[in-house]
Amino acid sequence: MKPLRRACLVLASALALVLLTGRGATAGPPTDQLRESIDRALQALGNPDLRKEIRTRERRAALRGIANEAFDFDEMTKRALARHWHGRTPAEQKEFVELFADLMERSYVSKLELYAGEKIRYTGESAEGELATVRTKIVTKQGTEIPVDYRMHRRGDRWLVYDVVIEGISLVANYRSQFNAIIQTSTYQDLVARMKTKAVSVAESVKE
Amino acid sequence: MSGSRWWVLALGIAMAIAGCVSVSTTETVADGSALPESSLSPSPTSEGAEKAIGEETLVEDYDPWAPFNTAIFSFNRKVDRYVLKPVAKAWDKIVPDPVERSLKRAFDNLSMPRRLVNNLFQLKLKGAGQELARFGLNSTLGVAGLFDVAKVFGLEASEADTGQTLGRYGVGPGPYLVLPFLPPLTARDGIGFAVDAALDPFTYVIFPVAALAGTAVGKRVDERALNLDLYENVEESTVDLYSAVRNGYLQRRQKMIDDSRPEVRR
Repeated sequence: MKPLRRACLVLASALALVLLTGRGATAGPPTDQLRESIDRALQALGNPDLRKEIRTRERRAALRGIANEAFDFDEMTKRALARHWHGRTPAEQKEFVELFADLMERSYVSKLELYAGEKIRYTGESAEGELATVRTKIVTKQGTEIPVDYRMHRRGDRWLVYDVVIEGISLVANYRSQFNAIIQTSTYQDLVARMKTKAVSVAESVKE
Repeated sequence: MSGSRWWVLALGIAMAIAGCVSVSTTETVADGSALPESSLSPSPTSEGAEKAIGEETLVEDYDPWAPFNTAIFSFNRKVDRYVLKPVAKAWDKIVPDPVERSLKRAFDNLSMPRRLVNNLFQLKLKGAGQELARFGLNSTLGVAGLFDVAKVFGLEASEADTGQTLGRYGVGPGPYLVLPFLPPLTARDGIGFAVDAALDPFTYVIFPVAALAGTAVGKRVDERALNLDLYENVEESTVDLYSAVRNGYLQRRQKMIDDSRPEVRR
């Protein structure tokens, strides 16, 4: 895209945001904190020491550390289990948070790995009190743009991600639908069992 | 228009009426609370619902035809596993990536009438103009659409389909619908699909049914070949593939319809 065209586009979208929301569209702390986490993750992905196929496990461990700081897995689980969350004991809740964090990381990290080396553009931020949405676009090598929005909330001085929306699909809402389907047609225990076998089968495919 | 095509349309319209009527009834979820499901209400995943922290509303994806859909879904999965994927893999080995992408562009170019008509119906005049200009440039300079010359001139495709147009004017999605050999649909998008097929020039060049099957297979093999990694990934990260695909489809369609309504855009 020509610089002038891009400048016009940025200006127009900024104007549109200001006009439609009545707030400025300047990047604030949510974007800054998210960008810092993503940059670290991309660094880990691009690190030649961790790049080799055999180092998959170390690379994922590094990414996991970063994800634990950036994501609020408790909140994600609460939202994904929705009304099924309340009936569980604290021990069950804790176990499920861990299983779900595993699953989220696998799906998200493996997607990050697919897009490694691609450009990420931060296209906007809207914040309202304790909640914020940071809009990004992943630009693939063929020039396709994949919109990825991060829904975040503030906990103390940190902004944490509680949902990722890829091409209009909220991951938390998608898992909510899956969890609900399993619990309704079977039991909560069956859901837990399925999450556990999933973790094992993926761990084995990583070992290969 | 041939007799068989009218049939498809009539079937579609009948499904839509059935869908819209049944959608306006209330559905009771297990905990006893009744959830009103108006055909015009925003999707459960829209921004507003997502903002209510703690009080997460659980509106289930509307799928009264689940037994039928589940059966067809597993049939489609077998088709994918034993036919589509092996063919796509072989195709991917023989055909270089740039050629695969060129073919996708040629297929996309031919579906210009669908996008043009729906851009017009959605009052996106700029999009309609872009589609016309793109078709002119890509069919000539772009060698029957194999190359996207128009993009170099800053003319991007303006995606629009009939299901989206119906949604924009307030037609609810109706029940979720899975049909053999086809991607996921809803009753509304099923009609849209039939109308879109009628707008596809391929349908008129060759015998309709054969053309529909032919282009559908060609398109799907090509797309599947382009997305081999992506599909593996989706399966790895789900616990229940049927509801994951259903919810993903419904969310994405809702987003596309929201985006086509100027007053909803933020």
